[in-house]
Amino acid sequence: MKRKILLSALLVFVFASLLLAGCGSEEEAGGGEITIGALLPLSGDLAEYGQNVQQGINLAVKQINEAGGPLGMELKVVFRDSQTDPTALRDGAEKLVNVDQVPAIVGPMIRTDVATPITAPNHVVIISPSNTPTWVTELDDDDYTFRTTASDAIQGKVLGELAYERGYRTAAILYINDPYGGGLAESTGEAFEQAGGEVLGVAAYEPGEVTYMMQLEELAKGDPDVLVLIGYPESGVVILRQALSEGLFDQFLFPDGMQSEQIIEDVGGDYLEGMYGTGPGAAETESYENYLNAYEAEYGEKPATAYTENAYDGVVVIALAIASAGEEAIEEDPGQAIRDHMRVVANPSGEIISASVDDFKKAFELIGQGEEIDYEGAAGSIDFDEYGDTVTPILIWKIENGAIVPVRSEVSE
Amino acid sequence: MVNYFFSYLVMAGLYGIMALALNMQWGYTGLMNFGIGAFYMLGAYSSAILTSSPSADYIGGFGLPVLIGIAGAAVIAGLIAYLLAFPALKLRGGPFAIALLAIQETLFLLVKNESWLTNGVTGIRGIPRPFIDFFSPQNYVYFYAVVSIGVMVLVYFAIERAVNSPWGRVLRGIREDETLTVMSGKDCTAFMRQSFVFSSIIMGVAGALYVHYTGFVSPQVFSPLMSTFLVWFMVTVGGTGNNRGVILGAFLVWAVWIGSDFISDMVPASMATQIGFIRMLFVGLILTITILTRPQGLLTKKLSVIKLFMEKEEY
Repeated sequence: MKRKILLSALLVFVFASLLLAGCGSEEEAGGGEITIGALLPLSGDLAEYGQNVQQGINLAVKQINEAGGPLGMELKVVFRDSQTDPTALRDGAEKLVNVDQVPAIVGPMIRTDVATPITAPNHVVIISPSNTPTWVTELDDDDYTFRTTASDAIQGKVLGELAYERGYRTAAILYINDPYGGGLAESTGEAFEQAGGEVLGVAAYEPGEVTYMMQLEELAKGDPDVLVLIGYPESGVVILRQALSEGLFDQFLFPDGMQSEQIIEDVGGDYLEGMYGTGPGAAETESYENYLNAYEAEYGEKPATAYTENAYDGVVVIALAIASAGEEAIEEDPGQAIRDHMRVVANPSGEIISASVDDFKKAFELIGQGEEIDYEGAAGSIDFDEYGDTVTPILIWKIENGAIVPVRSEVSE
Repeated sequence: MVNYFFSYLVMAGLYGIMALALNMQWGYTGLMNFGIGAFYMLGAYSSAILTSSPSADYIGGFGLPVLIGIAGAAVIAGLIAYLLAFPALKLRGGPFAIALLAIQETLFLLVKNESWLTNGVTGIRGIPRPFIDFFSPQNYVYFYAVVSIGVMVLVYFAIERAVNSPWGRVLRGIREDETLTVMSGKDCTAFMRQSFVFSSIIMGVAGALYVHYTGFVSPQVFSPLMSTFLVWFMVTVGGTGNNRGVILGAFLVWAVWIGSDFISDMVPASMATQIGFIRMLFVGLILTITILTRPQGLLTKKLSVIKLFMEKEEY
C-alpha cells in the first residue's frame, strides 16, 4: 500500500516536471525574435474556423518576416487551443500570459470576456478576429482589448436591409442559441422592420439536434418570403435540408456564420443557387486582393471560412505596432507599448499601407524614418475607435454555380 | 510559469472536489450518476446570482457576501438533489444513469433559455472574487490555489470520516450487495438518498468556488464533457472507491488534458492543427490502458466489507 502511494506520488511528480519542462520556451524580446500568441478553437464546435484562421495567421507571420520583421526581429507565434470551451479558453489565456509570456494575443474567436480578466492586468493586448457581440465594446479592459471585426450591430443592419432590398417583405428568423445568434437576430430584425418589412416569427435552435421541424413549422406559419438562418454550417445544413424537403422555405439569407462552401456541397443540387448572404470583409480593395492571392499561392485554395483575413490583420497590426513603439519601449513593457501604438499605425492621416510583403517593407522603413502610416487591412481599414472597435465593411455575397461569389461590400456608419 | 502552475492547481483542486463527490456516489454507494455536472452548474449559478451586483437583464444580482453565496450554492444543490432523489432512486444502475443524464440536460436547457433568471447564453460577468483587493490580480491565483486545495483536503477528510463510519459501511454494503444489505434490516433507498444529497452539496460548493475564481459563468462551461465525463475519467483512472486515488486521478487527467497543448510546440507547424485531437487520443489511451492493465484504477479500494463479514473479521 505504502509503495503504491509512493509510486503514484512519483508518477505525479514526473508528470508535473514534464509539464514544466515542456513549456520551457525562450522568450527574450530583442534577442533576435519576438513571440506573440494565438488563442483559437482548434478543436470543438468551432474547430473548422479555428484551423482556417490559423492559416491566415501563419501567412501574416511569414510575410512580416519576409519583409524583415518588426525592429529587425523574427516574429514568431505560439498557438493555444481554446477547445470552444470557456474553461479551456481561460486556461489557454493563462498559458499564453504566464508560460509563453507573450505581449499580444490574436484571439479568442468567441468569449473575449473570459480572457480579459487575465490579459488586461498583465498588460497583454488581445485582438479578436471574430468576437462580434456588442458587449465586447464595454468590457473593463484598460484598453487592452481590440477587435478587427465589426460589431453585430453593423452586420445585422446590413443583413436586414439586404433582405428588404432583395424584395422580401416578410421574413422569419431562425438563430443559434448563443451570444452571437441572439445579438445578430435582434439587430437584423430591427433593421428589416425599419426598412419596411415585417418579421413574422423568430425562433432559437440548439445545435446538434436531429430534427428542427418544430421550429421550422412554427416559423412557416403566415408563409414568410424568406428564412434568415443565423447559425453555423454543422446544424445549418440539417435545417436547410429539412426546410427544403418539406417545402417550408425555398428562399434563404445567411450571415457570416454560414459563409462556407461546405453548405452548398452538403445540401447539394441547385437548391441554394442565387441565395444571398453577408460576411465580414471587403470585396474590391487592393489589400483584400493581395491577401487572397497570397493565401491561394500559399495553401492552394481560397479561405474556406470567414475571419481568416481579420486574424491576418491582427498579426500585421501587432507587428507594425511593435515596430512603431521602438526597441526601448518594447523591452520595458511590450504589452503596454503595443497597446499604445495600435492606433498610431492605423492613423488615417498617414501613408497608406496595404497587405503585401512590399508594403510591409515600406511600412517598416517609414516607421524607421518617423513617418506616419495607415494600415489598410485585408478585412477593412482597421481604424480603431476609443473602445478598440473597428468599423469594417460588410461583404454581401451570393451563391453562383455552387460557389460563394462576392457581390459588393458596404460600409455602414 | 509559477503562476501557471498554480492556476493548474486551482482547477485540479476543483476537479479533485468533484471527483471526491462522485467517488462518494459511485465508488462507495454504487450510484452511477451521469448528471453530476447539473449539481456543479446549480452551485455555480446559485452563487453567481446571489453575489453578483444588481443587473437590469436578469432577476439576480443580490450583491450578497461570497460566503453566503457558497452557502446558498450548497443549500440549493442539496435541496434539488433531495427532491430529485425520490423519483430517480426508484431506478438502479443503467436506468438511473440515463435518468440523471436527462436531468442534467433538462437543467442545462433551463439555465440556457430562462434568461430572466440566468441571463441566458450571454452568462453573468463581474462575479466578485473574494479578497481580491488584498492581492494584485497576478498574485490572486496563489491565494485561490490555497482555497481550492484547502477545501479539497477538507472534503477528503469529511468523506473519509463518513465512509469509515457505520453509516459508510452500509453504503459500501449497498454497493456490493443491495439484497444482502436489505436483509440486514437497512433501508437502502434512504441511505442512497443521504449519500446522493451529501455529495451533491459538495458538487454545488465546487461550482460556487469555480465562479468566484473566474468571475464569470455561462452555460457553455457546463458541457457534459467538461463537467461530467472528465470527472468520470478521473475517478476511473485514479481508482474507484479510493479517495486518494481519485484525487490522484483528477490531478493526472487534468494535467494531461491541458498539458497536451504544450506538445504542439514540438510538432511541425503542418501538424499543429491536429493537436486538439491528440489530447482526446491521450485521454482515451490512458483510459484504455488503465482498464486493460489496472481495471481497479491506479490506487485500489479497500477490502470489500462483505468479504470481511464473511471472513468474520472485526472491521
